[in-house]
Amino acid sequence: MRASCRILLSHSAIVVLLLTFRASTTLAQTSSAPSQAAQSTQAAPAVESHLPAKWNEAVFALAEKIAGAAGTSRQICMEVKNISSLDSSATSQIRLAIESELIGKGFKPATGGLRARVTLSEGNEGFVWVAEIQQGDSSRVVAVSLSRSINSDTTLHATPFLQKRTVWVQTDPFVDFLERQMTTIPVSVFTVLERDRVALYMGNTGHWGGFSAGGFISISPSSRDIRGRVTALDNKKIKMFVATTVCTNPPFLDCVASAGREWPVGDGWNSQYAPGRNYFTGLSEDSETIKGDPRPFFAVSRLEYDHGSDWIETELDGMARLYKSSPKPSGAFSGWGDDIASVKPGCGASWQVLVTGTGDWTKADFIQLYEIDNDQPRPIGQRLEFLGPILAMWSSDDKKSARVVSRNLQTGMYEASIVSVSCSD
Amino acid sequence: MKLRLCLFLAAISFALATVPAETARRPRYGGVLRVEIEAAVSSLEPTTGVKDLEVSGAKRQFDALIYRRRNSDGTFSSVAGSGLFQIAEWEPGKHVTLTANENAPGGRPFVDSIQIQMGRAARDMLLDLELGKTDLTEIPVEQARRAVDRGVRVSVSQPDELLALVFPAGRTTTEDARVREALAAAIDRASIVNFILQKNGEAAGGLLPQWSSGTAFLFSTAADVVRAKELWAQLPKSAKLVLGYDLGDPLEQSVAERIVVNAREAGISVTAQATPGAEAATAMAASGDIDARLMRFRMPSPVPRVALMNFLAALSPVTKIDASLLPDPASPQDIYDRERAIVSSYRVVPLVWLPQVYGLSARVRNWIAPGPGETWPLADVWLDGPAEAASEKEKR
Repeated sequence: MRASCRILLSHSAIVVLLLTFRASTTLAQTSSAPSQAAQSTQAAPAVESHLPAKWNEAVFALAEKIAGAAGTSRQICMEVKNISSLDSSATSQIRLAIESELIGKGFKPATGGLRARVTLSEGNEGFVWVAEIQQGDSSRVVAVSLSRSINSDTTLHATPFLQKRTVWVQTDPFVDFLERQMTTIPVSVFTVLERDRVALYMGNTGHWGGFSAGGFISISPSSRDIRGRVTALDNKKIKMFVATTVCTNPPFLDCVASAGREWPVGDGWNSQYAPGRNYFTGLSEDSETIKGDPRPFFAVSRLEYDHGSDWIETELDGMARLYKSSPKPSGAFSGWGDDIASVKPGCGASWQVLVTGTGDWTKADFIQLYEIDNDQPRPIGQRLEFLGPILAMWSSDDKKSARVVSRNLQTGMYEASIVSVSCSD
Repeated sequence: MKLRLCLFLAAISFALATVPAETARRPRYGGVLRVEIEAAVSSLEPTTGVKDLEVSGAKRQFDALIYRRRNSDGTFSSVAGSGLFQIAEWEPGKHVTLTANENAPGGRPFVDSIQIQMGRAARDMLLDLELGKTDLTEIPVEQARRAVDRGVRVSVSQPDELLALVFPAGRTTTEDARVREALAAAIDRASIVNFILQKNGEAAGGLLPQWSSGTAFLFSTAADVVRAKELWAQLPKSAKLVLGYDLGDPLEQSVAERIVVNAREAGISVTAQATPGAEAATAMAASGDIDARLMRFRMPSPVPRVALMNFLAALSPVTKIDASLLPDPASPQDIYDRERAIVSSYRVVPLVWLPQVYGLSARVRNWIAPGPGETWPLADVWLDGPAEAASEKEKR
């Protein structure tokens, strides 16, 4: 038993989660895989476990119920007790996952306020997670359940999970970044693309020197949610897109206004930036394999197969739509954030999609990995939590990772991270 | 760095009763933001001065929206419409419609326009919010809990407004410091916070809040009725004290009545009397026979030195407290020492710290309650329900 805050509850009510396991394997098997993403010293530690998706759903459901019972209170003292066949490692992961969910909902650990005791129990038909909630003189009990089979199923094959490596932190906002190795000298160049400035830093990963070069970029019309992207033309040159301005560097920063469809929205496809806005006017008809009317969108994720390309667009009405060589969508997904990026890990489905959470710039965020199965998204693994909104996300060239720009709401700093998909055995 | 963190935490301090449906992350463009305020602004000229604090505060918000240049003293200037929004309609004291400036500094605001209704009563604003007739209103702090109970979504800032009891200099009834100390010791701040403010505020012992100075915990906020009785007993036969409050401020009235009760429990005779509300020195000068007066002080800056000097400048003319300049920069010790000296004089008795409370409709996104010295972030606010997306569809 481990308590989040050391408070003994003498008069508590009960919240219960029911988890029904058809097989006898325990969560310990899934928890034997690597569990923590590499973190730079600058990164705030994010809770990263890789519980099976259905377990995550149960964790999410429990957190929802606790939040519902809490009313407006956002201070919580939680303890987790295991009386089931789960081992301590599994218990710890579940506790962390619940805590993470509650923190994501705005709860803060505190000895005052709401008191919640979660008990991981087990019944004839599976596991039972019970939570007892006490707030003042009132108490309440809630419960959720899950089949045991989920556990055994998910341990049969490797499971993708997300890792985050924070590579850069600064006080001023920026829209994209890029690290590239110089070919002529054994140093790297780290490029930070800000709203109206580009800065280049020389050094090696984690040991960057001071500002070494850069310049100012004039954007007109500007946008309060400006989009930008850095691309490597070759080992020497970079090309930068900031709203409707295109810049190249070196030998010097050369910027021109552009109204064309040359903005690299991802995976070899281009589009036109809507002037003064934060979206693109649509993939053009003359782009390879794309037909139909252009639709404005925030981000596109391309899934290349032998038979051709499918793609997903996050559109201005808040929906994400799956297209298959046709202007008519094959599927529409709600509840996704506006930034998506396709990745091709070495496990699971051939293509997977990183999807940001919903909300606005005042809230914490996350990235959830999805597979597209029968034109429907299926969440894979645990969410990767961020301590603030994700402001930009772009796939890397090798499709193994994505560059993520986020703001840490606890520190107010802007962070650059590399999010990659790894495989647990 | 600490200041930056404080500012940031202050800005994101939210208390949401009902949260909007979360459908998107990136801001959407379009829509009309409907705002209602109580103050009636009669001029949009940046040079026009306003004595009424509430109207002055509202005018400053307007100025921040329509003028591009912010001066060092916090006022705004340049050409109307050069800022984030341009004036489309203007009816002095009643309403103003502002449209987004396509060439606004930092980019065009997300909403197409803002409609601001002025001169609205607090009760009507709350009702309009409940009925979906408005998107953003101010809510008196003492009504925040009631609004939450009624299902209104509220945003609460860090406490940045001090409600204090001020004793003017030159009053024979209060020249003996023991009189002032006795009354101060009798006041039960906790009951003001718990019952009048419904816990939407903090008891104040110092002149700066803990989140700003970091030393507010050093000042006691507890009542000491025994001490109050002892002090009062030491005094020669005292006259009845008159406590003034702003006649247009229900919160001040409630607090004044509570203080009368607290004082009576300590054997101190106090009566509450409504007086015209205005800027500090004017209010005191117009107070006539008032021995003490409740006054509100809004922090102009989160920086302790700036906020403290501003308080002292406002209070010094009537209380004769030391308003000499603090070193710049001032150390925490400098700040604390000055605060302690003033609080120990009992010329100013801090009572409670009040937050600013705003009511929001469910479709308002990216709203962050402004901190001290900040203005409404209406250029960054956007409305859920993708208005521009709908028009894009129509185009298709």
